[in-house]
Amino acid sequence: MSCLLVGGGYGSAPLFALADRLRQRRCSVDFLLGAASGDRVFGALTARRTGRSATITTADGSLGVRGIVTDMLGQVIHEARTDVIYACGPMAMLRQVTALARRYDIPVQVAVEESMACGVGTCMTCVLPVIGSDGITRMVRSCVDGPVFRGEQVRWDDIGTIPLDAFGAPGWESRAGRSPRPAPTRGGGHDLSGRGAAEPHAARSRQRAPERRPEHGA
Amino acid sequence: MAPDLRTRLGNVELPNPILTASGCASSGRELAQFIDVSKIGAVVTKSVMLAPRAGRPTPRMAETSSGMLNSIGLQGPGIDAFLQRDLPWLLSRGARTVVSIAGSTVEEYAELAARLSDAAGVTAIEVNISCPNVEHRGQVFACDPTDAGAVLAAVRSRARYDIPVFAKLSPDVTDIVAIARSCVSAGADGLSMINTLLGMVIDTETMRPVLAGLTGGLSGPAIRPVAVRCIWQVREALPDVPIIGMGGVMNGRDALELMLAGASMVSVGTAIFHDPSACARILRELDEELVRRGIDRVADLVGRAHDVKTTAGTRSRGTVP
Repeated sequence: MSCLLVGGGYGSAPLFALADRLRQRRCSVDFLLGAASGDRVFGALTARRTGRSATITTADGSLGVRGIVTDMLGQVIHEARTDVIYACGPMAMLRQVTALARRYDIPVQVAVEESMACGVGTCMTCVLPVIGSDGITRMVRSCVDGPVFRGEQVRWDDIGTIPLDAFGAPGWESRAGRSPRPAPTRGGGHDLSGRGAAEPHAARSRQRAPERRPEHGA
Repeated sequence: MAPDLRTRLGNVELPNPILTASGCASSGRELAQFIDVSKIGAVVTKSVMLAPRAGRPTPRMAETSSGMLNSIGLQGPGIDAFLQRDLPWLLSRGARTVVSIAGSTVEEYAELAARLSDAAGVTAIEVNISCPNVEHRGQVFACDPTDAGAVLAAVRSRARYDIPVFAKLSPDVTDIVAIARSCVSAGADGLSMINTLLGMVIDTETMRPVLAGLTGGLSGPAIRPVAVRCIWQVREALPDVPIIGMGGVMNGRDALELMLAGASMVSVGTAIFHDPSACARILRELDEELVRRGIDRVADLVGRAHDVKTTAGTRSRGTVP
């Protein structure tokens, strides 16, 4: 197996233990690490020493390629003939890595980052909308239900909202297709912040029919 | 000799007065990897509602000086899952369970009380009345003596006679004694205080409120003096009504302070978030505080600060203004 480990900032940290385990299983490990500047790339030296390949990106160009990790993702996938991607870093990065992995039809696992109060599962602070194996979206705790999810299970467009069809959202049963009543259009809901509910229905339809547009310049 | 920590919760005797605070311990299962849930006085569950509930959007937390704001929005699986999964688990672990209930109409509270009365393992019901009343323009039950009383009367009439019913009061009111009186007149066996204070934090970089729900409940050490004041006032007015005190208790000394104000039991909430074993630790610390003062029975401390002689003595030494 050819495994690509993608890290953003200190998100690289857990990737090295994973890399050890993957190598024990005779997988090859490629690294793609990025950060704002060279001194913020965690583990660049370790990645170069231990990875089959190591690609570094920095926003200011002080180390490796100028840019962000997703700029290089397509190229690295081609060169490494990647079979599976593991990613850890900021949510925006994980979202883009997931989108690109889906274009290439490569399985991707992400370790998400949400602010937490307790970290042991009691406070319900660190929730995000994740689609379960039964097709129902739930607000799950990243601390104990995650932090690692399959990328396509996370409803990236709906993070920071309660999707209207999520388990326990007002009227969720009809919206989740649990009654013959057609799903109503947006309205009501919990989002008081003005952040916008980010089209939960569109997200659901994407989930059912993954887009497979041809790759364009990664 | 070790002090006697036994405490009465209605008809039930608790081995000690330290409880979890609602919403900070879920249904006890997660804490069981850190403490023996049967060794603390009782587990107070996160407020359970009739239907599953997804809660409010994220961010749901904001840190403040000496405290935090939360805006969880009562996310939970609903009463069916609670009765099927959580309550039997607590019973199997030998925990005493105070079930916190929440609703948006009086009838919802009453139905929850009825459902719990048929279940095994309910030591008491704590009625979280800090919820918007959909039948009264979204006015929070806890802020209106009539609404608060209506909920407590409905719960008391539908709950099994031997299950004590406690009303959880909000400090965000002009006269907490009036609300307390109304709840007790309506049949509440005891009072829990205080719930969080409504607050808001604005991020000066984004220039927007930090919480997606805009406002949140302030908890932690910052609110402890408010809790002490509320408990004091209600104890002064209703000296025979048992009180579960909570609000920023971080250690045994804090628990002692709430008991001196009039609480016979103390719930630990926000402290659990940075120390999941906080309840066990605070229980140990409370025991040490009693030993240091040569007090044999924790019950002797309850409301002790109201004692005229104690107060006069303290004043004569000039340690308290």
